[in-house]
Amino acid sequence: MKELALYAMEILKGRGVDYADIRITRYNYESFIVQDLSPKLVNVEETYGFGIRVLYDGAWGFASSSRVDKKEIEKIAERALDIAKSSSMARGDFRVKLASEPVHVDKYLTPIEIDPFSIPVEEKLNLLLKINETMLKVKEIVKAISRMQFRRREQIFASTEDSLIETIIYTSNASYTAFAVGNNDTQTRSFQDYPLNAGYEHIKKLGLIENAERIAEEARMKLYAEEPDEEVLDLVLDPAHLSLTIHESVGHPTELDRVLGYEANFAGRSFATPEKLGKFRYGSPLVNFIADNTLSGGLATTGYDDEGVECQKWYIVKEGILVGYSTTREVAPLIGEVRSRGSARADNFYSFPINRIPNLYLAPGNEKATPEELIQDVKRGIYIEGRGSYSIDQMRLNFQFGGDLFYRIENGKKTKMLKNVIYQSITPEFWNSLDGLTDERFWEPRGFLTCGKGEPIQSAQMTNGAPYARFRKIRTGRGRR
Amino acid sequence: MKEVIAEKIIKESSGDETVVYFMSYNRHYTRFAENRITQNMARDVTEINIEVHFGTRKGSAATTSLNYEDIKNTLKRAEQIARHSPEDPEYVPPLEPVKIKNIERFYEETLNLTPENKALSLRKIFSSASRHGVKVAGLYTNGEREFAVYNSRGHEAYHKSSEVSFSITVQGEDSSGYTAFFDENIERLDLEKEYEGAFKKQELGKNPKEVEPGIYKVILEPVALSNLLLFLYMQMDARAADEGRSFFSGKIGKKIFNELVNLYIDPYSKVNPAIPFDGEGFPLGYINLIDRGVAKSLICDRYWAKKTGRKPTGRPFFFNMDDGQMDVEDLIKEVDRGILVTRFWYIRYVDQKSITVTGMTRDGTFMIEDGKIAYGTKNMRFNESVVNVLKNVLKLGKGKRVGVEYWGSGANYIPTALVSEFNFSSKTKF
Repeated sequence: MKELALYAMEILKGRGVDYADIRITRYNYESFIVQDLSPKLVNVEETYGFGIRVLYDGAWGFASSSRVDKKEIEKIAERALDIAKSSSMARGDFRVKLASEPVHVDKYLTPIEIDPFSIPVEEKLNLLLKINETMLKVKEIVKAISRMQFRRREQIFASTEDSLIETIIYTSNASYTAFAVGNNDTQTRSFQDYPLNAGYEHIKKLGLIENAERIAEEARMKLYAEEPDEEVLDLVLDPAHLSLTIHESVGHPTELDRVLGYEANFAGRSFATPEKLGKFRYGSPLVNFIADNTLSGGLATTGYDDEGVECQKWYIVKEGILVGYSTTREVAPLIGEVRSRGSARADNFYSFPINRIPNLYLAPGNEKATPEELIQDVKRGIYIEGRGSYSIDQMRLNFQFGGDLFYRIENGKKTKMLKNVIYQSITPEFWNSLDGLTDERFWEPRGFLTCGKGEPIQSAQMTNGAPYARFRKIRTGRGRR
Repeated sequence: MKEVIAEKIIKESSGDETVVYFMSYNRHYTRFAENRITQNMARDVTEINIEVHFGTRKGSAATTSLNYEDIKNTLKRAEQIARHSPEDPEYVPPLEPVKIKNIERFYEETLNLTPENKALSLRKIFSSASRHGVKVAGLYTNGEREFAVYNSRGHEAYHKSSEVSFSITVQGEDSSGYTAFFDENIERLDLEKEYEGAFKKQELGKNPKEVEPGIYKVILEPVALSNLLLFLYMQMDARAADEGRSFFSGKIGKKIFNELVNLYIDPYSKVNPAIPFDGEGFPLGYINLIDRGVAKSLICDRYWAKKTGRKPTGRPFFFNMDDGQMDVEDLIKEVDRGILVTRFWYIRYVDQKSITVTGMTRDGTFMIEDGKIAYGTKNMRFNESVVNVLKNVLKLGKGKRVGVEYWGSGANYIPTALVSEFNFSSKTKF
C-alpha cells in the first residue's frame, strides 16, 4: 500500500501540480440490528480503494477507484488532474492556497484492549437478543430494537509535500430502543448511542443488560405522563442531551467552510462570522467550548486528519467569547490563520475531505456541583435526559429540541414525569442563559457516528461531551399539535 | 458481467439460499459556492453484497472490490456470519423468479457531459452572478447507476438509469432563492432557467420583513411539500399501524385528508418513471395509498403480509401525488393573505403518532397580500402535523419531480399546494 501511495505522488510531482495527496483506505464494518427476537441485519462489509486529490492552478480535482494497483493509480491520477484543470476554468480570480503544515511521517493506532472484530458474532447477537427479551417482558412494550456497530479504518495518507501517515482507527457502539403502546399513545425510550474510538471493552462497560428493564419501564411510564403547557421555564439538561445541542448550535456554526459560504446550497451558512472573532459573546462567562481531537476515546481522535494535519486542542469559545473555528488547510488562510486546525474529513476513499466538527465539548464547571445541586436552585423548570427531536435554522440561530425523558422541577426537586416536551431558543441567547454546571465528575463524552454534511452527503463522527448544565428562562412547550 | 459473477457465487455458495446484490454508481459531481467551483469529483464504485441463508439463519457480507478472489472471500465471510447468526423467527425465503417489466431510464447523452462542459456552462452563471452582486452555490451531478439482484431460486432484477441533477442557491445581501432539477435526460435541463428562477426569488425577497408567528394560509411549492410528505410516507407501514405505533393505526378505509389528495406508487408512471423493483428485487406495481383523501393501503413487507394475510407491496422509495392545472401564479391570486414557501430545512419528527414535524423555511419565503407577492419575509419555524396539512388542502397546482437521494436514483412527483392553515411557531433573525 505504502509503495503505491508514494508512486502516485511521484507521478503527480512530475505533472506541475500545486499540491496533491492520496488516501488508500480500507474500512471494515460490522453492523447488527435485532428487532424483537428477529435478527434484521447481520452484516459485515469491507470497502477498499483510494482517492487522489489534485490542486492545479489554484483549483481542485478529485477521482477515486476501488481497484488498487499501479495501472489504476496512473489512470486516476490523470483523471484527478484533468478534473482540476476543468475546475480552474471556473475559479474566477480565486486560487486555493493551502495553510502550511509540517511534513509528518508517522503512525497512529487507536489504543484498544479488545479487538471488537475478534468477538464472535453469536456473542454480540445473543447480547442484543437478551436486551430485547428483557424489554419485551415489560407491560405495554410492543417492540424492541437493539443495535451494535463496529468500524475499523486503516488508511495510508501521502502528499506531494512528502508526508506519509499510517493510521488504524477503531470505533465501537451499541444502543437500543423500547416502543410502548397504551393509554391511546405511543412512546419510545432509548439507551442512546455512546460511541467511542475504542475496542469491545467499551461495550462491556456500557451496562447494556443492566439498563434494559429500566429503559423499557421508562418508555411505559411516558405513556401516562403529562404533557406540558407553553411556559417560560428553567432547564437542567443532562450530558447526553447537551451533546446534540452543542453539536448543532456550536459545532456546525463554527465550521469555517460554512461560515465562508461553501455550504450555502445545502448544510447552510452561519451567524458566527469572522468579524465576531475575539469579541462576540456566544455564551455566559461560565461557557467554555473546547475542541480536542486528541481527546482519549474521541471519535475524531485519529492522530491526523484526512489532509495530513496533526490533531490539535484549542478553544472555540473561551469564557463565553467566540475565539476559534474548526478549519481545513484551504479555509484557514482565508481568515488569516497560519495553520489548519486539522478538521478535514472524508467518509470513505471515494469522498473529498470537507470541514467537519472536531471533538467539541462544554468544559465542566470549576466549582464542585452535582446535578441535584443544579436542580435545587430551580423553582419551576424541566429536567431533560437524552436526545429527541432536533432542528435548527441554516444560519444556526433558531433551534428547537425535544429530549428522551422529562421531569418537572418544582421548588428544587424533580417531581412528575412529563412527555412530548420541546424547547425553543436562539443560539447566543440560550448559551448566555447558562448559569450552572456540574463539575468534572459528571462530564460525559457522548458523540455521533452519522453527522451529515456536504453534497453528495457525507457522514462523519465526532465526540461532543458535556457536564449537566442549567439554563434560565427558556421557552418550553409541547410537541404535539 | 454482473450476471456471470452472481451465477458463479451462487454456485459456489454452501448456503441453502444465496442472494447477490450489485449497486454501481458512476457519477461526476461539481460543487460550487462563492461563484466558483469548490469541489469537482468523479466517483465510480460498485458494491457487491452477498446474503447467505442456512435454514432460517441469515448473514451478509459486502465488498467494493471487483477482484473475483475478493468476492469469493466475501462469500466466505457471509457464510461464516450466517452460520453463527441466530434463527430468525421472521425468516422469509428469497423471491421466486418473476419477470419484471423494464422501464427505459437511460440516456447516453447524460453521461457525455464532461467536467469541462460543466465548468464552461457554470462559468457563465458565475459571471452573471458576480455582475449582479450575488453569490451562487450548488451542485451539478451527472452519471449512471445500476442496481441488480440475483438469487439462488433464479430470480433476477436489473435496472440501469442515467441521472442529471442541478440545484442552485442564489445568495444576495439579505435574501436568497433556490431551485432544483432532476431528470434522467440532460437535454431537459435548462441551466440558465434554473439560475434565473433562483435569482428572481432572491430579487423578490430583498429587504425581508419580520412576520409574527401564527397560523397562516400557505402555498407550498413542490420542494417544500415533498420535504413534508417524506415524513408522512415513512409512517405508511402496515406493521407499525397494526402494532399501534403509527398515525395510520385503524385508519384504512377512512377519509383522513381532503379529497384532492391522491397519493400512490407507480414506477411506470409517465410523469415520474422510477426503478421498477425494491431493495430485494421485489417487483413494484401501482399501489393506491390515498384515494381522494381516503387511506386505501399501506406498505407491507413479505413477512408481515404472510402473517396478516395481505398481499406484499414491496418497499418502494418513490411516490407520486396527483397535481392540479394551476400555475403557482394562479394559486397566488387565490390568496388574500398568506405565505409562500419555496423550501423547508431540517425537518424532524416532534411526535410520530400525529406526524407532527418541525422545521424552518429557507431560500425564498414571501408574504402574499391581495393575490400578489407583497414582500419577502424573514424565515420562520413551523410545528405542524402533516396530517393537518393534507386535511387543509384547498387547491393543488402543477407538480414537478423532486429528486430524492436513496439507494436508487429517483424522484417523487409532487404538486404545489394551497393550504388553509399552517402553524408557524417562532421566528429567526434572517
